[in-house]
Amino acid sequence: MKIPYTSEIREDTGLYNAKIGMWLFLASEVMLFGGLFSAYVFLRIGAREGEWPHGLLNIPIGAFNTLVLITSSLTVALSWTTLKAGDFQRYRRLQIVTLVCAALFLGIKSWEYYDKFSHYEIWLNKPLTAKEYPQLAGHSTEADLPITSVVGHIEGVGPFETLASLQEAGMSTVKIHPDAFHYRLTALQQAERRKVEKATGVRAVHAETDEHANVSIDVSHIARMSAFVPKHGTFFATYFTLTGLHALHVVGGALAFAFILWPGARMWRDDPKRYTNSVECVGLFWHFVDLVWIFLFPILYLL
Amino acid sequence: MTASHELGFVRKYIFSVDHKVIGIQYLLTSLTFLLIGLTLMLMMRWQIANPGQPVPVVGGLLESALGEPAGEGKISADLYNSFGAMHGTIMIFLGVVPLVFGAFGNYLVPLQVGAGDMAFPKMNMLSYWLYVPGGLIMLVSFFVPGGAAQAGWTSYPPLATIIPTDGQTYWLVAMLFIITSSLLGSINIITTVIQLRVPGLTWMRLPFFVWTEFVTAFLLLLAFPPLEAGCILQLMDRLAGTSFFMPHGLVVSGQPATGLSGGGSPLLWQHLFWFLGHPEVYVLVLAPMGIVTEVIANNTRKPIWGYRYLVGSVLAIGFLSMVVWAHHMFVTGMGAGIATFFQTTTTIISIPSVVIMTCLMLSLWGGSIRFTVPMLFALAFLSAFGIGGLTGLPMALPMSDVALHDSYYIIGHFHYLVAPGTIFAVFAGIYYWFPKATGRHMNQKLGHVHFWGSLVCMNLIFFPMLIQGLAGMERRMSDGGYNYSAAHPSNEGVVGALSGTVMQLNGVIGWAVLALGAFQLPFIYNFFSSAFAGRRVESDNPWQATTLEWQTPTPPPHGNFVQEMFVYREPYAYSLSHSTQPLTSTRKSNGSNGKILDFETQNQPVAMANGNPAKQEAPV
Amino acid sequence: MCKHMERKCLTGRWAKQALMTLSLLSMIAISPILVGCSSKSAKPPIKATLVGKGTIGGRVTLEGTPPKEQMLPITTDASCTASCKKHGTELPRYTRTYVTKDGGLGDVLVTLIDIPPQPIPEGTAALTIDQRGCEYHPYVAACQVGQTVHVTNEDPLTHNIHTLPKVSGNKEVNKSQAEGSKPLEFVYDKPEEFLQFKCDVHPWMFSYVSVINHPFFAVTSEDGHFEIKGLPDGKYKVKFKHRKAGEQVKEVEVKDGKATVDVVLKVPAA
Repeated sequence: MKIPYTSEIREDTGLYNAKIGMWLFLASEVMLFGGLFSAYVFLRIGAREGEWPHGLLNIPIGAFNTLVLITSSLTVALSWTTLKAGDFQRYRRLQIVTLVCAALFLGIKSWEYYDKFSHYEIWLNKPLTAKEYPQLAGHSTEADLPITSVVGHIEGVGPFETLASLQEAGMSTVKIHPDAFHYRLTALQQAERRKVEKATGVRAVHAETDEHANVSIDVSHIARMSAFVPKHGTFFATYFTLTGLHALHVVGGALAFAFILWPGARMWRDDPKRYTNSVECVGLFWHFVDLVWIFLFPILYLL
Repeated sequence: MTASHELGFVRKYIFSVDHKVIGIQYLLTSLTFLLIGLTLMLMMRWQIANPGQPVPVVGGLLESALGEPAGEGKISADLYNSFGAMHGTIMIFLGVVPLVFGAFGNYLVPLQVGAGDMAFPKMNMLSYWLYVPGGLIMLVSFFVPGGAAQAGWTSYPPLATIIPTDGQTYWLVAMLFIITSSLLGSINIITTVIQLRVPGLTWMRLPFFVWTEFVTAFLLLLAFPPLEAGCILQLMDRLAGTSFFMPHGLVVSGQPATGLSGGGSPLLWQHLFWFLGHPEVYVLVLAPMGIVTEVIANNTRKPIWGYRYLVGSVLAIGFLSMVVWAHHMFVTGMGAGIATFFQTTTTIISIPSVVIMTCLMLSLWGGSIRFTVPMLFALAFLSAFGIGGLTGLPMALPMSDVALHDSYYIIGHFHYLVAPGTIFAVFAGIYYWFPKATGRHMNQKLGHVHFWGSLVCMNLIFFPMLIQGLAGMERRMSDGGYNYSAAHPSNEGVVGALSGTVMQLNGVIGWAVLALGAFQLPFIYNFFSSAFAGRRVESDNPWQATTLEWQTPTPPPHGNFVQEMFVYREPYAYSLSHSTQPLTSTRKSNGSNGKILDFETQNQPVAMANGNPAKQEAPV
Repeated sequence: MCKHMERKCLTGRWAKQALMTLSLLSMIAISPILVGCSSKSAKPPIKATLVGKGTIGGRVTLEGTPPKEQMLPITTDASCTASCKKHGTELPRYTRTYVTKDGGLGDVLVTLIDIPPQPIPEGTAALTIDQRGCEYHPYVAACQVGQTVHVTNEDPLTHNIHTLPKVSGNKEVNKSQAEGSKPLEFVYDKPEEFLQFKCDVHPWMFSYVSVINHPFFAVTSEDGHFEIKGLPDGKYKVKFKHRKAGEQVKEVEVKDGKATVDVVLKVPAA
């Protein structure tokens, strides 16, 4: 018993079944990511003053990843038109480029994740002052600015360590390489700051110092310590959940394309129309995944 | 049309891709879960009526199965809480939704649109086999350390996050399975209705049941994913220590919560949950309205009054149900502006519901009513839905909702809609379509016993709850409200303490629930004995119905229809004065045997003026 | 493998795939239980290396004036009052951080340290904690790793026992206990000092149970006396720890089955 319209188009709708199915699935995915984006908005609006970090994500790398995904969307679209024209070999080459882009995206993301997991924030029992540690003052001009937390890599400490594990290992001081970025100010505020600096000549406290000069902190002065893991705070919780779910979708889409490209390629011989349709449907999914990233990148990295 | 392939037992009955087999799988599994949910409630109502007493008969079994929480056969307070949470979860997500959507939807939608199967048969199989592990995980959660989920079927944080019950995590994981299953099912139904309608079956010729399943599918498709997102976030809160729903300054058991970053919001979960939660209740009720419509049309021998209004209303309900969710959150301290918005949309959504009820009731007027068992259940649905719907109005208005929220009034309200409402419609559907699926009638006498017993018991259970709620009895109290009753020594002279009458109703409800359970036994017996040894149907269309599912052999074979299907008319062509077909028929397949026919099936060719049937061409 | 798209051939393959998927899903569902069960039974039995008849006795005294006890957050509960009447007790009004009598300090955990883990001696009964008059009796107790703690409810009302361990490996548990129900059992796998038991219904109710991985411990009585039995002769280190008054370690030698050690704990400076 054959189900109609699996390959041919139904006249009054102009669609075949799988296409409608994929669009419906994408509608549900829009609601899924929409729910997560709404959670992001809710949590960011509700965050206390100064607690929502900015500038902790690497924008150039994120931008590069964006380009990688856009390229892959382009090759996917090209591969579908090529397939419609009947050129299987060219389709195959384009899809391999797609998969390479996907792998590159995931590789860069994994590197970003690893970097985050080895990055720490240390909240202090007693604040340090910008005067003593100008390299921690960010773009502030106040010398008396109390610094309650330090952000950066810790010398000799890998990912996922906690205060308890450091104490168990017997460390009494930690040497932290502070980040050049400081999340007291948003990107916009930092730009404003630089404009003011240029106009008034009043420079930020850190301006003359080595921004990366290590800071030694006694373990007993640490109130709380956390790597940039989901547990760190709502920003990273949201970041990892959103990008993690997105990455899973990239993996899924790549696996689907790989399946169609190799084990499933037999269908090109038996039913080329259906084969082209399946490439089109997975292509739709891929474009959606790309679109989600287009939203994720500015929301997480830029704003 | 139908190829005959040799399928083994496993491929034919277990991992089948045939929508009818899958529909029956859904039916049997969800009815089982319904029974489990009823059993949980039986024990809970016992505890409410007799707090601290060992449960009779099953107390020992409970203790050996669950251990300490059921020590000496008594239901401890946390066991009561987990029974309550799981009763709601099992009934809604494992019982009613798979029943009305997975069972009835899968079985009937392809048949009623004239298709040979669903658009995506393998995905259909997958959606059933995702539902089963989800259900198993829920059941298994009773036996893990800490027991099953205890934070209500709504799983509100921070309690749901900090509660040291492993079952809470299992609940979240099972929900992911169940939600995925529903999403795949929705995609299937929508695509089937759009793409696989046979020629001539235009949108306004669809049986109303198909319309309700279509809208239900959209509700599930669009409303479930935010809850899926929420479940992922709550899982991360429980397992990864995140603070999506954990606010700053949280104090647990008198001590500040340590190790949490804070910064989250419990309200976020409530929004994500109720964004599904409200469309969910329309999922529970729309398809049953569709079933009732089919049964009423058939048993009044009249077209349904106001088909267009029905379609418009169900579409309006579908759209409006997405913008009313915060009426479940009126007591969270929302501002007057937002409360006004949701109050407005909620009262507006009552209008299409009333339109549907009115159309159905007007359909009875002047009908030649056959009081078959399905019809009895369908009629009871109308009154139950009426009571349930009307009792909902005070909750639409924040000022009255503040008093009634989380009271027994709410329990009475929503149970009137799902219990004598949805479940009765489901029974109507089972009695109605059983002959088509099995080729045998269910025993009518047992059906009557089942109906009258259930009707009386349902009302004895849920009407007193409305009274108790108005008297101020709150829900989720394991001692049945004793701590707040006038009989409790601390409450001497306290105004508003629950009176003896109100407390005595607990006893009435307890006995009524037991009786309700007993009255389901004739149905269970009837269902299985009739399937194997019931009176055989006299034709393929024993109820003399007009819709396409009755135009197949009985039971329908793989591929459903043995001839090419075309549709020529509206779905409820009963007793039409403009009927152009000969008034007598010798067609045995229409159950008439020479008698006068008062209906035209949808696929019956239109007779020409000269009396000959029109050519079998695909009409527009 | 299917060479051509034969339905029969493919059906078998689909069935196999479906079966594999289903088994995978079921395994995912069931694995947590299996892991939980297996981890408990995988431990090898501990050998008893310290068996004897010797006793370490002594007294802990308190130096300094303890700070004033704080008022407890008592909420009126007629059932609690009624229960107190029945048991001849009164609802506690103040915290019991420092329990002293004749200069001695009670509720001090006395335990041997730096000895290997020991099994639970034969014939050791469960540690019983009663809820009477809306209070836990005893207030401070100790038990061994793997030893059952029995909690009974002798009040005509519902209590809940919410344990809040801090050592990972000891599970947080919250169980309700209605009046007249069977004793609830708690078992702990990891050593912990002053593991807190509390009741969420009656916020003044606390009990502290220390979990030790050997049987050589005691909790001092009201006047500061204690006795640890069952030791062979030898040198031992004894730790004295109070919830607020700090801790001290003393070396002691059991000769001819007897040893005495007295210690003075100081009230910490404000």
